[in-house]
Amino acid sequence: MDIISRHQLLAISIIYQIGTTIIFGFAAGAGKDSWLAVLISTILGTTVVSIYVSITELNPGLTYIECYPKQFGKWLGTPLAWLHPLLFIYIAGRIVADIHSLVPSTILPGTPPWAILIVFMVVITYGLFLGLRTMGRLAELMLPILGIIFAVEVILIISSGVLDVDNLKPMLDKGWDRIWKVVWPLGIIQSYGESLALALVWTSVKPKGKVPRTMLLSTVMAGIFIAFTDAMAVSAFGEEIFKRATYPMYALVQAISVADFITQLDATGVLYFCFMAFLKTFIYLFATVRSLQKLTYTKNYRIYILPVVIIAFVLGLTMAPNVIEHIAVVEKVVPYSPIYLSLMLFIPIILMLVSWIRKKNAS
Amino acid sequence: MRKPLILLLALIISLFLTGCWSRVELNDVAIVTATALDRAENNKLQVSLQILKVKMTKGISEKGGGGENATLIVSEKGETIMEAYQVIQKKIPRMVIFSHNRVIVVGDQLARAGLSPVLDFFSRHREARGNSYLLVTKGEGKEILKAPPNFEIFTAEEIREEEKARYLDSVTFRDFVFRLLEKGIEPICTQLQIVPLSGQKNDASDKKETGLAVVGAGIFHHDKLIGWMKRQDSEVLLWLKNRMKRSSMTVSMQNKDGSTGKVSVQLSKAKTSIRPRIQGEKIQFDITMHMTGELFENTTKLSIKEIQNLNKIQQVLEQEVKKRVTSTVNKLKKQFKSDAVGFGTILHRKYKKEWNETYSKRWDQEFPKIEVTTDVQFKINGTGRVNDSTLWEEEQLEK
Amino acid sequence: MAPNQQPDNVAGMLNENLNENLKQFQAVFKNCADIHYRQFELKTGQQGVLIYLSGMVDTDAIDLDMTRQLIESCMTENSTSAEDSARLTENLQHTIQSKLGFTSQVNWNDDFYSSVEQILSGDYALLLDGMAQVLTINAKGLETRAIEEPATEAVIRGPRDGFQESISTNMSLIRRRLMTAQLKMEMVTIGRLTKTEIAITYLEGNAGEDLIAEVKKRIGRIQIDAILESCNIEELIEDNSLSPFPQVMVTERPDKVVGNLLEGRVGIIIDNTPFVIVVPGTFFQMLQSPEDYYQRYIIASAIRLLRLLSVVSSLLLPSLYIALTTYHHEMIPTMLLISIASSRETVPFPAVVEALVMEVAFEGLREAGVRLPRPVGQAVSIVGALVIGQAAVAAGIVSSPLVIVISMTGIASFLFPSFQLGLAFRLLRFPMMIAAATFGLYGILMLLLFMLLHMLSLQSFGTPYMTPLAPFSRGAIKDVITRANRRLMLKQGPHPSKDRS
Repeated sequence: MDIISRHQLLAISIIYQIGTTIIFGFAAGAGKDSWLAVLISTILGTTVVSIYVSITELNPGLTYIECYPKQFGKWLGTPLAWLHPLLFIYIAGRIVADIHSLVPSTILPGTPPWAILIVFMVVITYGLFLGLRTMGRLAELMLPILGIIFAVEVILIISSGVLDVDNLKPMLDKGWDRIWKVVWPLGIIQSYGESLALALVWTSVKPKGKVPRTMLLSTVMAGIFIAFTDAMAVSAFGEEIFKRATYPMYALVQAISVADFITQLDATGVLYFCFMAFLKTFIYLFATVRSLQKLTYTKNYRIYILPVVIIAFVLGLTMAPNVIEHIAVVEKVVPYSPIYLSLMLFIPIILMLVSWIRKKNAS
Repeated sequence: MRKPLILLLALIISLFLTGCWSRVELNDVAIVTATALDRAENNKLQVSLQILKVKMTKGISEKGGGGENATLIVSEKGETIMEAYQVIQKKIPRMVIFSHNRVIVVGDQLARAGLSPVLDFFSRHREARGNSYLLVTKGEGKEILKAPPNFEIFTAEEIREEEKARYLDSVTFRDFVFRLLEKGIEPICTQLQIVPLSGQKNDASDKKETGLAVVGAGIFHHDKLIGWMKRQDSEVLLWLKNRMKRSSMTVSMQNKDGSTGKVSVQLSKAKTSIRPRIQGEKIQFDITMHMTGELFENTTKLSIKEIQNLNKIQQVLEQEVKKRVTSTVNKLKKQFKSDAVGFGTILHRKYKKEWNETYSKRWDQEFPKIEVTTDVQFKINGTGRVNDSTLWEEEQLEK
Repeated sequence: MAPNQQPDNVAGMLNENLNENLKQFQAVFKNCADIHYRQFELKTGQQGVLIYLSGMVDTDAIDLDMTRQLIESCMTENSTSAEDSARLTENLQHTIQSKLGFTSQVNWNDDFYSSVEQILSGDYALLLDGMAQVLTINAKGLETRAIEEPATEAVIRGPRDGFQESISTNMSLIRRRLMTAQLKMEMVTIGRLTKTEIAITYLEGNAGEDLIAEVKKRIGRIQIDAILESCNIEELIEDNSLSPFPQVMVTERPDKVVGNLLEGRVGIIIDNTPFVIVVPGTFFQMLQSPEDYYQRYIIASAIRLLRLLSVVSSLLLPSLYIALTTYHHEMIPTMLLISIASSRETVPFPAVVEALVMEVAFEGLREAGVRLPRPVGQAVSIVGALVIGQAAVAAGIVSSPLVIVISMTGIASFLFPSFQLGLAFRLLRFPMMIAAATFGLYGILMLLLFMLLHMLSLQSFGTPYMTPLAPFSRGAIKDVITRANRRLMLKQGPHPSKDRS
């Protein structure tokens, strides 16, 4: 079986939680205070993540999916559990749709999206066949590289002189209202609630005991990272442009100009995004495949890889006709949909309580 | 395991072989180096592009292409920029790319009518870059593009270098949009004109050498140009925004014997902080400036070896800076009624509640009523290679 | 042709009749021109034959030591000539063993086939009338070249001895650096026809038991007729033979082998080749040169960083050029773009074709330079420099920025300390260029991810290929990207060769 180390889990979950926010921006609705909104969501997000972690801790040896039939019984638990692979593959399709909308419109105009997506899916399929262990190593290898590139970009942006920290002031300009609006539920669901898919990875981590701490660490680090980039984007553009840009972070990279020589690095921003999306899609598809394997009691999970990849591909290709609709759905419909909220928040809480009570009764 | 892998590889390879959809070879692009936007009759836009003729630049280091211009000016009228751009594209055998367009020049007629309609294209277009410099000119922008370059191979590069040196406030497209959208600050633009390199404009010499120069700033109210600011005043804007790179200042001083001399300093640092205060109905801004400079010319009889003389010069300089700041702010308040410095944003940062509740909506009316006090501290930190003036005998100098 | 032909009339056992024994040998060595029979008679009147392969034995040993010893021993036998042959044989055996054994390794052999094999491996055989045994004496005297500086891995500072073709010399080169009983060398013979000797060498205690067992298992599994070079072994024992990446390290330098033995790796020395295999081979190990440890560590660290940079650029430079000039014009600074564009103006090909043609030409030149005799090789490089560097650019067929890019790539690819790894990157450059031509930077990223996934999934004898970067190992990391000071490295234990995730 695939085993990953604690370090690899950390790398995977940091990249995963930062994920696509690197390009779409996060909590842009909060304007100047978006960084604050991110930090608040992070704090709330850690509780969400710790709920997931404690569920798997209360049911040792079982993947998250298997907890449902065990705790809720076969008749209630199994259908609930079956909702998860569907949810995962849907979100995976959303990320593929991100690629579908972003790459052709920025760096490859004129290239048909299906061709771009096929390349993307082929690499993901290869990764799925190689398994979680290889992907863990990839994350581990890429994290410092991404970190270095990011640090260089930050230095370049600062030395371009486009940052004006005064743009962040005044804090809480329009009060707490708009912060709460982005924190609940979007801020919690995006990134942190989505860590649900990581729950299927945790059983592969060795040594076992370190999962909760690792997850909390990664959540906090990802939160700080996103808050930092948000703050940077606001201080570069000011609130108004930040709120209006389709891809604020992309614009941020575009703002780099050092000695008029290193300029227009936007393509690298897209590449950044592609890699993040790659890992995120991989985790979702892996979670899908793993849950299917657990739910159907199959030995070899590989037989599910190709069908799952093809479904995600078709979903990504057909899900959103244009960027606006895609982003609108992601920001306005998905977080409020009862399926999302209940699968990511309410049912896990119930599950945790049930597991906890049962365990207490048993002992 | 092996078989699907081989299949995947085959798939990838076949895919790569079909490709090259969006490929554009460098031989097939026409690089736009500058854009000029003007107002044409019937509310139409005139878009002029300065396009590089790459073959003319062959061997930049070698002797240039026989005095021929390396750029081509193509212009076309249209309802929108896109429309005009499409017509231009049809005139040119190569694909026009905007990604190296670093200069946008706007003619004053269009600027007075409002820039908003043209800004949208540049913020939306994939290739347009936010760090393009936005400039306004009296007259037609197209004429600016036609001016022959003196040093670089095309004028856009010269304009860019001049803007970069920031003798006057350089405004990128992104800055402009930022100021336009942000409440409490109004956009400005650098003013670019063709000027003769030597002598008067109506000099009779047969071959007039001209150059492009930034001569001042265009002051905007919202997206409309409302007036021009001279060089000296626009320099003050730089000081107030803490964006000065290098500048110089000359003051005249009376000697004891009644004759006047001049003192020129090069400013090396200007640090300004503006503190707002709300006192009842009155809004007051306290400007504190710390400037340092180096003495470059001294034609007075003052001996700079003496501390009190140096202090005297510093005092005169402080007075001069104060005068200039007050005059510039007054012009903004009275003449333009446009908050080009961004007093509003400064107020917003300090008094967010008052700003959000009252001032943000009627800042246009409030701004002319603000009061400004200026406090300047000037420090001379160098006197060049000599300390005392070499013009005068030792005994003539005032000690 | 059936290998190892054995005449039917030959029995497996030897008998006491010299002539019959001799006939057996002559039947086996039929048409072998290099086999020599030297007949002699002892003073006792006993007939004897020496059988050996010329060129494989030390003839001096035969002429001087051997004959003198025999004659001396027979002189003592002379007085008791009347005794029966069994007694004689026993005495003879005793004396030869005691006297001859002093100078060389002596074996009594009563099996015919094994004595044939001994002769083939360079021993010489002594047959005496009346003895049902063959005396094989080891006096190998192969012609070898002198120990020279390795041609493929030269250093400025560091030992200049390199392995050569003789396995015993090679073993001694390692042994003289590790004078400890912990250094083990286990001999195996592989190849039904070549009978190549292979020594598995490791430091007991440093190398993991699993690793040693695995190496022995894989080498034991080999069923092959001929081993000509270490590559034959490499292909048979490596984990993934479909990969372009070398998964074992091959070196000509004894100091490098010893360094790796110290780190807990296992060396495989193969007779008749100066290249020694070291397993497990990892990516970063192959990016290290022994000289890194012989220079001051700050400089060596800088050189390692330079090397990493060159790895990246030898893989990506041409494809980045293609991607930037055909897809992402905006990323090139304006003035640079203009000068590239103006030099590309007359070029009739797309950038991909231009780059591919130039790369192929460059690789061709390089290959020609390696294969051709040295004087001609120089002519090739002159032609290459003139044709590619000058004429093509002057004629406007190729743009000069591309020539610069190709030469920078060439320089970068010369910086690989391991030629095998460099070859892999040279090959991968081409798909990379095609990916860049199809999808620009996106294509490069995706192919790079594909490649990385492959590299990360590779294992060499249970050790992940990209260790210690992924999986991450904090202790070893400081010796990968940079070269840590010796004092810092003292804390580092033996190289972990066990399977980690």
